[in-house]
Amino acid sequence: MKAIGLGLAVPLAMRMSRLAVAQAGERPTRLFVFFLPHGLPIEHYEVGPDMDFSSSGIGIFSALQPYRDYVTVLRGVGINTSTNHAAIRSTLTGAEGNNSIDYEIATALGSTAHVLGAHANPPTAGADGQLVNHGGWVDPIANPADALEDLFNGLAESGEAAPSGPSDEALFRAEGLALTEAELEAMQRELSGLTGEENKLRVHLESLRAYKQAQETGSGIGTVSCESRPVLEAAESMAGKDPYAKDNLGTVIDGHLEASAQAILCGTARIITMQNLYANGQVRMDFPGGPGISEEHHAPLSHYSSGEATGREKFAQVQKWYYTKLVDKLISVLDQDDPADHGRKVLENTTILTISEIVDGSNHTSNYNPQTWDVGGGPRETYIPSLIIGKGGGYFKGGQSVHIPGTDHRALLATVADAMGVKISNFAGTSVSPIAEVKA
Amino acid sequence: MKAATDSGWRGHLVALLIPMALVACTAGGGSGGKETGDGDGDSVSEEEEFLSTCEGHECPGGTREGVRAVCGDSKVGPRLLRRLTRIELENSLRDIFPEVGAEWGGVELSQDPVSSLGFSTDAKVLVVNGPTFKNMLETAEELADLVTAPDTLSTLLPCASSGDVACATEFIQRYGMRLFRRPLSDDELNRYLDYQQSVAGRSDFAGGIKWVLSVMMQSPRAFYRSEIGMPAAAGHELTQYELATNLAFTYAGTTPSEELLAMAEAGQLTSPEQRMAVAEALLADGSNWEASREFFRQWLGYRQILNQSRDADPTFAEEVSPLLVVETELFLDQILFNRGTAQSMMTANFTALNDRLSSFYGFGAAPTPEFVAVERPADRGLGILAQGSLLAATSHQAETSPTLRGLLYTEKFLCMEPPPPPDIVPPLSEAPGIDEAKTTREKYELFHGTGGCANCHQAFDPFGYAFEHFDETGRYRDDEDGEPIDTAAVVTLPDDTQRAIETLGDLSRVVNDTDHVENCISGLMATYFLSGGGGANCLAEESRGRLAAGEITLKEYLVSLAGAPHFSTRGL
Repeated sequence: MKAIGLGLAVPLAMRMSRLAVAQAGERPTRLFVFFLPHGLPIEHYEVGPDMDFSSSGIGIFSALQPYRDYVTVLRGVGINTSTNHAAIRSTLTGAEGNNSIDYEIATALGSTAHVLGAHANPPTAGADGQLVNHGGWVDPIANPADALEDLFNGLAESGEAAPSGPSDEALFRAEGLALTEAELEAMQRELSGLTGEENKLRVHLESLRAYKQAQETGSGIGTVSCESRPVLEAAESMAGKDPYAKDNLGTVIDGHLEASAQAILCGTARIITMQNLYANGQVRMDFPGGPGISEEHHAPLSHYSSGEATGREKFAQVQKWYYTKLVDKLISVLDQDDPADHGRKVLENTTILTISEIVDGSNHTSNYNPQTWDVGGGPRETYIPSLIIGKGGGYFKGGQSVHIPGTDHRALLATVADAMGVKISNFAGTSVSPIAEVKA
Repeated sequence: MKAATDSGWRGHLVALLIPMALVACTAGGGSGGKETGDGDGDSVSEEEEFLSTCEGHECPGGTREGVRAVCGDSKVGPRLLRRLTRIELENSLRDIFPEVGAEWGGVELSQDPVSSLGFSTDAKVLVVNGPTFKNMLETAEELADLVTAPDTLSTLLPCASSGDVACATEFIQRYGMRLFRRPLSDDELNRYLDYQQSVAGRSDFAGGIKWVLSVMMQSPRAFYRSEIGMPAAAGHELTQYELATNLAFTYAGTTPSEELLAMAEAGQLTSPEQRMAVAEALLADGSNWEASREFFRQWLGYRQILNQSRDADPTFAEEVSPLLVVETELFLDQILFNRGTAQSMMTANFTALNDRLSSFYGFGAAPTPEFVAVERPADRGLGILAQGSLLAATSHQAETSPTLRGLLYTEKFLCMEPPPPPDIVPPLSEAPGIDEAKTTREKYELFHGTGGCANCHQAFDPFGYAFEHFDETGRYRDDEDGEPIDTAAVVTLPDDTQRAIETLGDLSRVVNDTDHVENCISGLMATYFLSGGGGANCLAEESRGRLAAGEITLKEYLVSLAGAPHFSTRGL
C-alpha cells in the first residue's frame, strides 16, 4: 500500500475520510453491493460455525450452500448512526451527510461506481429511498436496458464491430469537457466566499474530473476481456418498457443481475451497487417470476410480529427468493476463471456485500442488541443481516460465520474498502479499522 | 383521461377545469349519521412490560416553526445558484429546440433529490454529482445530434450551408442567449467560436455546431439558475435577466421566452407590480399550470397510491388509484386556478368524479366517463382531507392508519415536526389485549394511547381518529366490520390550545377560526416556489396575513411571491 494525497469528492461541510490506495498491479478486485431492505427474520437465517445454511427455519441463504467457502457470515454488526427507515441513508454512507462507500472506493481507484435499482415504484419515496450518495443522493438506474450502456461503457453491442483507437468524438468531447471545467473554475472564483455555492460547484467539478478519469482508465482493472457486449436477454427485453411497473420487476431484477455479472467478467465495471426496493417498498410480491406472495413487502410482510410465525415465514420466503436470485444470476456466473487473473476464479477476486438498513422489519431497529428480543423460540441477539461473499482478492478467509458483537457498521464498510485496496482510517465521523476476524 | 406522468406532462390536464354546475349526489347506503361507540381504550395498566418499550423515548418534536413562523416583515435569503430540476431542463430544451419534437426522448436525468420537506426545488439539494453529470453529458450530446441533423439544422439555421464564421457566430449568439437566459459576453462568444471552428476544421461545420451546442448546454451558466445579483445599497439586486429567469421557472416551469427576455433587456421587471403582472399573465396560460401542480404533488404525496393494492378492492391498483389521482388534481386545479382560498381548499363541499369513481364511492351516478364537479353528500368529509387519494395514501394494504393520517394533518397542514420513532417499535399485533380490540381505533388506542408510546402518539394519533369513517381505499364506511366507528377526539393545536373534534369535517374547519393552516401552507408555498429561500423563512409576509384572512386567493398569494423582496433582492 502506498499512501497518497487525494482530492476527496466531498464538500468541506461533509465528514472527511482518510484514504490510501493500493498500487497498480495487485489483484483485480471487484465490488458488488446488494441492498435488500427491512432485514430478515432471524429465525430463518441464523448460521452457526458449522456454516449450514439450511439449519434455521426455511434457510434464507440455502442457495449459497455450494459456495460456502466463499461466504463470511457477519453476526453482530449494528448501525449506530441512525435507526429505523432513516438508517437507509446511513447504511452505505456510514452516517447521513457523508458520501457512500462505493463512491469513496471508486474515486480512490479512478473507477466508476454504478448504481442500479429494482424498485417497482415510481421514484417518489423521497428520503426512504436514499441509499447511495455521490456528492448528492443518487437515483439508481431503474431500467436494465439503460444500464447496459453504463455497465459496458465503450463496448460495441454484440455483432457490431469494436471501435479501434480513440474516435474523433472522444477527442472533441474531451476538449469540450476542458471548456466546461474552465467555466466551473471561473465560477468558483467569482463566488468565492459563498461557501454553499462554492461547495456546490466543487461537487460538480469533481464529478466532471471523475468522469474524465474514468474515461481514461476504464473500470480501473486495466483488462477488458470482451470485444463486444454479451447478449443479455432480460436486460435487452426491457428496452422501451416501464421499469417501475410491478409486472416487470422480475425481469428488472434478472436484467440487472445478469448484466452486472457479465460486466464484472468483461472488466468494464468494477464497482456496482444494486438497490432492491425502498425502505417502505409497498410492492406486492406476486409479480411474474417472483416469490408468489400476494402481500406487500414493507407492510404487512416485513412487519409480521415475532408472534406471527406464519407471516414471518412468508417474509422469509420473499427474502430467500432474492438471495436465490443473487446466487443464480450473479454468484454462479462469477464462479469461473477470471479473465483478468487466469488461474483464479472471479469470486476469489470479488467482494459481494449483502446488507440491510434494519435488523428485522418487525422490531424495526438498526442497532446491535444482545439477547433483547424474544422471537423464534427464545431471546435473541439482533444485528444487521449481512454477508460477504467472495474472497476479495485473497483478503477474506471465507467459509466462516464470525461473531463480532456490537461491531459498528462503519468498520464493515472500511473492511470492504480495505479489501478493494482503499485504506480508510476515518469514516463518517469516527476512527475505523478493518474487522480482523474476517481476514484470511 | 389518464393521470399525468412524471415526464412529458405539459398540457395533460390543461383545460380540465371542471364544470362548476354541481351534480348533487345521494350517498348510497348507510346513515352517514353521527358516530357512535365508547371510544375509550381499554385499560392496559397491567401490561407495563409491553408498554415500557416506548418508555424513556424522548419526544422532542416541535412545530416546524421556521416554515410556519410569521415575522411581520419579509426577509430576504442569501445569494445562490439553483440547478435546473429534471422537468425544468426538459421543458427548457423543448422550448428552445421545438424542431426536434418527438424525435427526442427527453432528458436523461434521473429523479431529483428532495429536501427534508420533500421538495425537489430546494437549491441546497440540487447538486451535480457523478450520475447527474454523466446524464447531462448524454442529454446534451443526444440533443445536439438531433439539432444538427441536416434537415433540422437547415431549418433553424438557414445559413448553415455557407459554413462560415458569421453563421456560426449567429448560432452561438442566438442559442447562447436562450440557454444562458442572457446575452453571451464577448469572452464567452469568442471561446465558443474558437471551439466550433477548431472542431469544424477537423470534421465539418455541422460537427462544430454540434459540439459547441453540447458544451453550451452543459455549461454551469446554463445548468444553474443564477440568483447572485449585483451589489446594491442593501445587499444585492438580481439582474433583469435573473428576474426573467425566476419568473419563467416559478410560474411556467420553463426557460424565459424571447418576449420575457426582451422585457428584461428593456428593464421592465424592476417593480413588484411589473413582476406580478408577468406572473399573473403566465398563470393565465393553462399550459403553464403543471409548474404549480407539482407543488401539490410534492407537498401532499398523493401520487404514491399509484400501483398500490388494497385487499378490499382488487381493481384498486390498476383502475381506481389513477382515477383518484385525477380527482385530486382536478379538485386542486379548481381551487388554485379558479379563485379558491386556503379556506375553500380545506372546506369545499365538492369534488370531481366520473361515473367509475362515483360508483366506487357510492355517491350515486355521475353521468359520464368525463369528470364533472360533484357536490359531496353530507357527512362525507370536506375539501382536500376527504380526497380518496390522500385517504388511501395514508393507509396500509388492509387497514387504515390513524398514525399516518394524524401525521399527514400535523405535518402537512399544521407544519408540526414529528418526533423520531423509538429504536424498537413493537408490533401492533403484539399489544396485550389486541385480540379483544374490535376497531382500528381501539387497536391504536390500546397500543399508542397509554404508556410511553403515548408521549408522542398523543400529539398526532387523535387527529387521525377523525378520518376513521374512511377506509383504506378512501371510501366512506358507516361501521368497521359491524362495529361502530368513533371519530371524536381532543386534539392539540400548535399553540397548545385543545379542541374537541367530532368528525373529519370539524378537522377541515379548523381553518375557519385559526391561522395555523394558512400559515403552514403559505410558508410551504414560499419555500417551494422560491427555491428553498436558501434556508430563510418569512419570505412573503406582506401577503400571508391577507391569505390567512381570506382576503386573497391561493393564486393571488402565489402571484404575490413575485412582488416579495426576496424575489428581487438578496443579502450581502
